[in-house]
Amino acid sequence: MPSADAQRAITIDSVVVAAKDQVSSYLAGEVVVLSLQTGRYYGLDRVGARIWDLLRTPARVADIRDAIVRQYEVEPDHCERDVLTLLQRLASQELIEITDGTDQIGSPARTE
Amino acid sequence: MVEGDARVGDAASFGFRVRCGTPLRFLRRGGGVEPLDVVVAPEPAQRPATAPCADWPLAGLGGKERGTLYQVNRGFEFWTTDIGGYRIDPEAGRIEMPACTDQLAREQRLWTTPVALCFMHRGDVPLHAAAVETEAGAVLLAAPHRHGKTTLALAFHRHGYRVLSEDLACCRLDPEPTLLPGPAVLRIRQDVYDRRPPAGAHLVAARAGRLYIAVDDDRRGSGAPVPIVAIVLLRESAGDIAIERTPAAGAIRDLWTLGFHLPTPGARARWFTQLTRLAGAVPIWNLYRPARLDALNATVSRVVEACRA
Repeated sequence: MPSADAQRAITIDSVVVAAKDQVSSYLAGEVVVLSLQTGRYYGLDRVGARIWDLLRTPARVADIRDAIVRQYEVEPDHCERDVLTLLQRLASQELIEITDGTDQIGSPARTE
Repeated sequence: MVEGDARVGDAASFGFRVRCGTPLRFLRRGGGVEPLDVVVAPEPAQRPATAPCADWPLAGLGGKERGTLYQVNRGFEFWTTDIGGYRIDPEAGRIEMPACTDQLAREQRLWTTPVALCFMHRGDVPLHAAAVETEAGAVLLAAPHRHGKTTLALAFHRHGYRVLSEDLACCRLDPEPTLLPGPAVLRIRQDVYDRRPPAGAHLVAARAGRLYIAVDDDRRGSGAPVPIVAIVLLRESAGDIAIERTPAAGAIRDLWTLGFHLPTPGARARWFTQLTRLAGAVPIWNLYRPARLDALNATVSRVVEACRA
């Protein structure tokens, strides 16, 4: 059964963080992530890898969007849509957790 | 002396120095380091009463036979519905085989899950792949069951290349990726056998639709590690042969299905980390080739050429 996070909508004000029960590896600038609970595998391209990097500690979606806009010179509205789509997909795979507050900021997730 | 006899002291498989009081047919000479004691159970054993940690149909037997893995106090028991139970103590480097009349099938099973559990304990990585030695080094031919790994490995043998492993590859990551040669046997489908064994090999027996072809002693080589120069993912094509590099991150999806790990989060994490390290360190190729016997020679040439470059 999908977790509550998997079904929860992510907004620009949500705080998201990489789930604890996953493991990820960087390969030639890309990232591969495995859910240890489901055994499902997920691959992220270079921009996705940068977002994954930002998810190692709890982060506001707005801050992730701003970081990507700064780094890749992409139009903010477009970037926001893409970031939200990716995060929702990661949440549906139970690879990230969603909170509405900042109480978890500073606890790093597991990355190999 | 019986070929590959583990009683003579330097018999090796998957990096182990194999010691066994009963003949094993597919071992290599030298190159093994850690001792692995293989014994025959003195009396019939009973399956553990505990719940298994994994259960699956054994490959190539039409789903008729099953393998079941139990985790017990010091190690594991691997039970097959046709041969019986193997007791595996990876820490002690010891495998107990069941007493059984079909010694060939018993040895073949020995070199699957039981030995994989032992080399995984040592830190090495299992991959469902054949392996051959080209001038450049070891080339892994990776694919699921019935995708032509053994047939292609046999074609390499016909071209004079050493077959390092037929179905299970034992990979070591440090200090550089190397392949630890496995048993010197090829189990080929009867429909691809042309009625005579290739030079440098001999027919041992037929079992369940497969012919056991043992590599001759002088073509086996030692069990010493061979540097891995390529992982080749076998894919079918309707037309021409093509081989092209593929990014490691994309190949993980295919390689992930070709591994072996215990069904626990910790074991999954370890396998994933090892796999991504291997994929990050070794060039990976997609090989598209028609599944036809008359394409084998050209396929071998293309693989050798690509891996040399």
